Amino acid sequence: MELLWLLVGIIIGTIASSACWFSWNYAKAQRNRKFRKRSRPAARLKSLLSFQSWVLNIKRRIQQDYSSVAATTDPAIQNIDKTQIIWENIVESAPIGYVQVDQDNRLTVCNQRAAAMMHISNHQQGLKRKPFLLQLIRSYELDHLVEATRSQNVGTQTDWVFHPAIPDPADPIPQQGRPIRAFSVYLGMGQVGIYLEDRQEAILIAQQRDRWTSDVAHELKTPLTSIRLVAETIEARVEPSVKIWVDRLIGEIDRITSLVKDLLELGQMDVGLAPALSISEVNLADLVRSVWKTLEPIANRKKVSLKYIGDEHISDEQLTALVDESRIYRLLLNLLDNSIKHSPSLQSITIVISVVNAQLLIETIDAGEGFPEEALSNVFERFYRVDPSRTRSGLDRGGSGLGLAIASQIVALHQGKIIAKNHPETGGAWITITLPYQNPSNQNPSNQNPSLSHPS
Amino acid sequence: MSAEKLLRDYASGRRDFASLNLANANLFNSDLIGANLTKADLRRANLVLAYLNKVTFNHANLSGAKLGGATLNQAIMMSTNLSEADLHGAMLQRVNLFGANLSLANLMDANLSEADLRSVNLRGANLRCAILSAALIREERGYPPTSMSGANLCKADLRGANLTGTDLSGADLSGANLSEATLAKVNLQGANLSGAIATNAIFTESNLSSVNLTEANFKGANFNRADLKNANLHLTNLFGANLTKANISMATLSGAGLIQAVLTGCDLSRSLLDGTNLSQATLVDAYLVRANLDGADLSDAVLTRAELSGASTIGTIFSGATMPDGKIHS
Repeated sequence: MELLWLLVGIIIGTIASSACWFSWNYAKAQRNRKFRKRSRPAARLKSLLSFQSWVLNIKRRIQQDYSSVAATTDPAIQNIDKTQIIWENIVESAPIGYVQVDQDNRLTVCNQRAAAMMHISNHQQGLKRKPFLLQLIRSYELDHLVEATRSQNVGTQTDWVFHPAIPDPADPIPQQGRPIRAFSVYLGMGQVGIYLEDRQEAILIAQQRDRWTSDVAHELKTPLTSIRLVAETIEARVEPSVKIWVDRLIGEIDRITSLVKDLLELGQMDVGLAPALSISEVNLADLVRSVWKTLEPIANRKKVSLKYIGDEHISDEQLTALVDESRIYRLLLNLLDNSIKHSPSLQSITIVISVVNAQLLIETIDAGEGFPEEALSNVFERFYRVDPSRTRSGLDRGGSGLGLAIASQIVALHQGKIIAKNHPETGGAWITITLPYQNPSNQNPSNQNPSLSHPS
Repeated sequence: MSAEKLLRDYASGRRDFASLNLANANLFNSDLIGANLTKADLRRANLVLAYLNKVTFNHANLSGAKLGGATLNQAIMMSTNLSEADLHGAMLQRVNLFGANLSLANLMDANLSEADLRSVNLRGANLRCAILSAALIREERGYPPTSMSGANLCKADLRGANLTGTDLSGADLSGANLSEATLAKVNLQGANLSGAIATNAIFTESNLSSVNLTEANFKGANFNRADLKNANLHLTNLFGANLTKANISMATLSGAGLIQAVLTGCDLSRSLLDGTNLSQATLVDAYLVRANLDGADLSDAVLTRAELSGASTIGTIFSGATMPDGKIHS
């Protein structure tokens, strides 16, 4: 019995003591937590101080780096100052115009030559006020060139005729326009430099050359006609063995006659002698067909076929435009003739006519060898031939080299654009002509959209 | 159907234009609020400055479309193809783009706040200076996660956005604002986060290996179990950040501020910690084998049970720090 009570006593004792121990521990933990809480503001202050010191450290380090860089380059800076003066002198006395604008389009540099070219008086004094480019040089083309260079970060080139502003509107002195070529160069930080070249002389020479060629062509025309007549008269009277030579003679005369004709035509269309266009409503699909009919004999020899693709929205009957029919006929004839010449046998030539954004698009695509990349910018020049070795072989009906030049003249007369490229699929020539589209149905104000007014 | 006919029908009250072919249509500055253009073909259409609020574009094809300056607030664009579309400066607030394809799209300066961008393909997209605040970009179960690999998010506003589980590998996030954003389980491998602001952002379990985090602000950010292997944290501010069990081995932390940071159980082996401020940081159980601690400030830090074997400690400040053996350094 005593043993049982003793056991009970021991159990109660252990429970009590463990309870005591737990509560003591709990109180200690509470006290610890309280103590930690009280110490927190100090820790926060410390952390803030150490953060501050970290920031200062970084600042000092950056400053140190900066000053060390500055220290090493100090003599170099003096050198740069000297070289800058030299460069400024070079720019100032350069035989070519140079202007420079900063990121706000304010003029910072303008040398003697550019000032003379652009009729800027007293440019050195004027530059101190940092005027805007357009204040001094009223040229939209130049402003456009600056913008294009800045946005693309690469230099470009543009040609235009600069018309200086009339200094005194009350007493207007007629100012002569000056053809100018500008090369831009991007200088970083939004700054753009522009070299200005006076093209007056070059244009004058080109005009003289064109006039001379056309004069010569005119003088050659009459004797050529009589030579041909004589050759034709002889042809019937010579022996059959000699006839072959006379035939060849006539062929060569034909060639030279067509060359002279081309030259005359070009001379007529030259700038300054702008002939009036006889504008009429022309159905383009019919025009293409009639051109092809003319060329069919040559095409059949090579078994080359034509693929005509009209506009999706406008039927062939409706696809009309206000153009000079004979000139557009000549244009298409030249292009297609060229395509046939360069197209391999059994291939087809594609001609696509479409209307996009009030622009008439005419594209011709052949499957020939195309233009070499370096020739793309020159193909519309007179007497330019892609392959000089083929020029006068006679066998290949080598063209006069004027076909594309005439084509580009015709397009220019119609205020259009002509672009030569190589087609990515066929690899052949791909000539795109853009003409302003004047649909006759547009003259009716109630029908704004041709695709709506003519349900197709 | 032509654009003119569409606008006339719309003006007369028609709203359902599903499965229409409007490729290359010119709808400049037109008003099509609330129209239904489900499965419509709008390839290369011109929708510049158009009003398209609440328009339904589900499964529509808008590849190459010009939507510069268009208003598309609350539009529904689920599974829409917007690849290579131009959305420069477009308003896309609360738009639903679930499952859309925006690869190589231009979203420069666009406003996508509160937009739903789950399971979207944004590979190579330009999101420079775009607003993506509070956008929903998290991974959805059963769908592929949103991919922004190679996207340009330079100076984008991603405050409060949820980007859980997305793929941001190789993305440019320099100068972006990621404050309060959730980037848990995100793949940021090879991304550029230099100069980014990410206070209180969550990066738990995300992959930040070889990431450029120089001069970024990660105050109070959570990097729990994140992988920062080989990352560059030069001059980064990690004040009070939580880096528990993170892997920061072979990383560059020179000059970084890790004041009050929690680095419990994290792996800092072979990392470069010269000039780092680790005052009051918790480095319990941290693994600092062969770390470079030259000139680091470890005052009042707790280094209990930390492994410092092979670590370089030339000029390191240990004042008041609790050393690995439990004793306080004096």
